[in-house]
Amino acid sequence: MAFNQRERLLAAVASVVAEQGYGKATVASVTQAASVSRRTFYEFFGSKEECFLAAFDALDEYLAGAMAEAIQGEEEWPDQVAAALATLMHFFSERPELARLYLVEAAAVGEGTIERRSRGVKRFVALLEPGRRYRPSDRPPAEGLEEALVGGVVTLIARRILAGEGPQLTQFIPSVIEFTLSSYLGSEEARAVAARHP
Amino acid sequence: MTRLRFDEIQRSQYRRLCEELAPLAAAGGLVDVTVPDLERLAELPAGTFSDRFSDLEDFLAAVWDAISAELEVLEDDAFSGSAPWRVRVRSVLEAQVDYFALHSDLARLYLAESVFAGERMQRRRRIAIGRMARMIDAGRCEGRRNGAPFAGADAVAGALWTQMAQVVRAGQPEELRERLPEFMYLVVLPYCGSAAAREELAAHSQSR
Repeated sequence: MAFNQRERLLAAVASVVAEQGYGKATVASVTQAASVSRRTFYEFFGSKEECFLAAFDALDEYLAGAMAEAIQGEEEWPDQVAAALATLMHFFSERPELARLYLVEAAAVGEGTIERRSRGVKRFVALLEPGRRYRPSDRPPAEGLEEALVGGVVTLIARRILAGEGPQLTQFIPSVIEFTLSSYLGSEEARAVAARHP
Repeated sequence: MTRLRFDEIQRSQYRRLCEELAPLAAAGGLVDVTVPDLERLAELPAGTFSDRFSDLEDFLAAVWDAISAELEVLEDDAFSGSAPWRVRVRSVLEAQVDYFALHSDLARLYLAESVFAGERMQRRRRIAIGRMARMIDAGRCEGRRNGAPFAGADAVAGALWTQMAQVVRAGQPEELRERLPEFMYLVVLPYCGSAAAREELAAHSQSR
């Protein structure tokens, strides 16, 4: 029962924040959406921020697992990256409210999420770094290239989500894969990899 | 004796607060900035800040808007004309990096510190990135690519922002101009292909 209530609160904070934005969301709106009492809320969380961060952590853990699973299914590095990106984009297109929590609203929470957000970025950076060996030796990758690529992908997803185009995110999968891989493979080969991961 | 108008006094106070905010944020990050510190450094009486701004983010938003308005004029000017897209987009990037190199404290505030600010600042960042994305996406018309159209201008603009913020956060805004060919490589690659993108890098090594 307690587990169920906590899960309901985590789901509720995601939907309320997606609807109202983190700033306007209140403990009252979260408890109402979860159909639990205010007292129950405070048995689990000390504040709205704590509840939000718990939802963020749960989602982060899920995404790390989904990415790892996608990568395991591929042998070559370009396909591993493409599969991880396609998995993320499919998930976020089905659950745009979670994309909003993870990629948009987390930035508005401030200090509490800085460390958490950098955890997700580092995970993706680690996935991209092996691509450096694909780049010709006369064109070494720019410093911080991987962080920039992750920043780019996050920007694209966040802007589509805010434009209410979350369910159409899958349309952007080929462009996102091409964008991410082309700095290592060149645009033509990156496009060929993208075509294998619709 | 000429009497100062109230709005002139306010403008002067605002300018002094602005002048102190950027270096203060550059030194320790925005999270360490406090209103009393700002008022003390600007040599303004306590309460001046709250007469005009509801909180630090409100103030940051005002400073941001001032920077953004200046940049928008420079960017629009650089992007106008009938030159090929690559030339115009390079002019925009040049205008940006020159501005940031000249105003390094403001650059840190605008590009780097705003990432960690609240909702109002995030909204502003998204608008500025969207502005850049539209200029980048104009490459669709002039690019020579074959196959499916590239729909990732937002990603390119976001990546550029991240790269510039990294350089500025490292305290090396003067390096931005040197990194310009890398930025152009990122922009040109999806629209005009690898060969054209390599030309951007080659132009860099020749100019060194």
